[in-house]
Amino acid sequence: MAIYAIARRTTNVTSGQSAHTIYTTSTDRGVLLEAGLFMGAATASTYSLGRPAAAGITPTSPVLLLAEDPASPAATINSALAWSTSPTNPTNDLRRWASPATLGTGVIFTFPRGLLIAVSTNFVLQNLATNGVVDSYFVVDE
Amino acid sequence: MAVYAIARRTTNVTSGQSAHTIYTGATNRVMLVEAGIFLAAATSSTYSLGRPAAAGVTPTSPIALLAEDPASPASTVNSALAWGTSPTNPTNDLRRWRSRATIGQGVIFTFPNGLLIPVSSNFVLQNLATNGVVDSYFVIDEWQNWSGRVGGVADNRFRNSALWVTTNSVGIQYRSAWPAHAGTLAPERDAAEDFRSQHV
Repeated sequence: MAIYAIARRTTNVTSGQSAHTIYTTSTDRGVLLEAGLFMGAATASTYSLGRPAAAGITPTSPVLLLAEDPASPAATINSALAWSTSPTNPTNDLRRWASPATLGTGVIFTFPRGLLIAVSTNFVLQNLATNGVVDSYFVVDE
Repeated sequence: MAVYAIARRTTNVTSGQSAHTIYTGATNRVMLVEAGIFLAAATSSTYSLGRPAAAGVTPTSPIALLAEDPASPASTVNSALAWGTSPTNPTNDLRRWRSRATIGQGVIFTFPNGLLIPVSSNFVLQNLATNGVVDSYFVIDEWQNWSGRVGGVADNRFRNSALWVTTNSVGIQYRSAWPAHAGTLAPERDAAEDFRSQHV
């Protein structure tokens, strides 16, 4: 097991679409340990963390998560800010956060026991309103 | 034991009623490990976390908590935002939070040792004033009934050395074939305070 992370400023602020998705391949599952988001625009926003009801189709320019130990093998988990077809809202949410219209406001959610992301699945930071962009990150144990 | 969570925006803002309740079934008690509240309306609010003096009657459209490991069995704990008859205020509160009238203000309470919710009982995020709605969540550790082998090896020559463990709503039973032994594990502390203190 090795720790991987990725931090990106979101671009998609459309309600009902994913702002930031991490997704596993068919070989490796991941365990989410931490997720953080910090407002990058002065827009009151509502975000969800959860498993989308339907996975996304065709990620745009995905980026592999980065090893926190450079000696670790490359991650198999990717991150995407945009999709041809976005992951849909979770039917029910695992975490939610409402922000004020204040730059820099943020929250860090920790998952000390690990939140499992099964193989070939998406996990999303989802826009539940027309949001501002955020600096967001995920930390996983793969 | 498995971790489950649910996050919902509350709808009931009436003082003296529950904004968000989680409630156990008759079989499994659970431990609350985290609860979070983020204000979604610009209304100065006062919330309590606690055990209601009287449980709610007839939840409206309850939702079972979601497994943080999809391989876990379904949770027996439900979440409700509204009731035919709401849970009443706790007689005394376990946590309280007063917010400003600022959207996005929030708090995360953690319970590293677990706060026990017995079987067939409610635990509430309660409106202690006419509040704004909040994005709220609960994270629990639920002790599912389970039976399996701990340790030992699959090799037939050694399989009897395994320790077989069964968990249920009353605790942990164990048995081993060699050496022959069986029993129930006792909690290190008062189980009513800390279910997790029962360990192998």
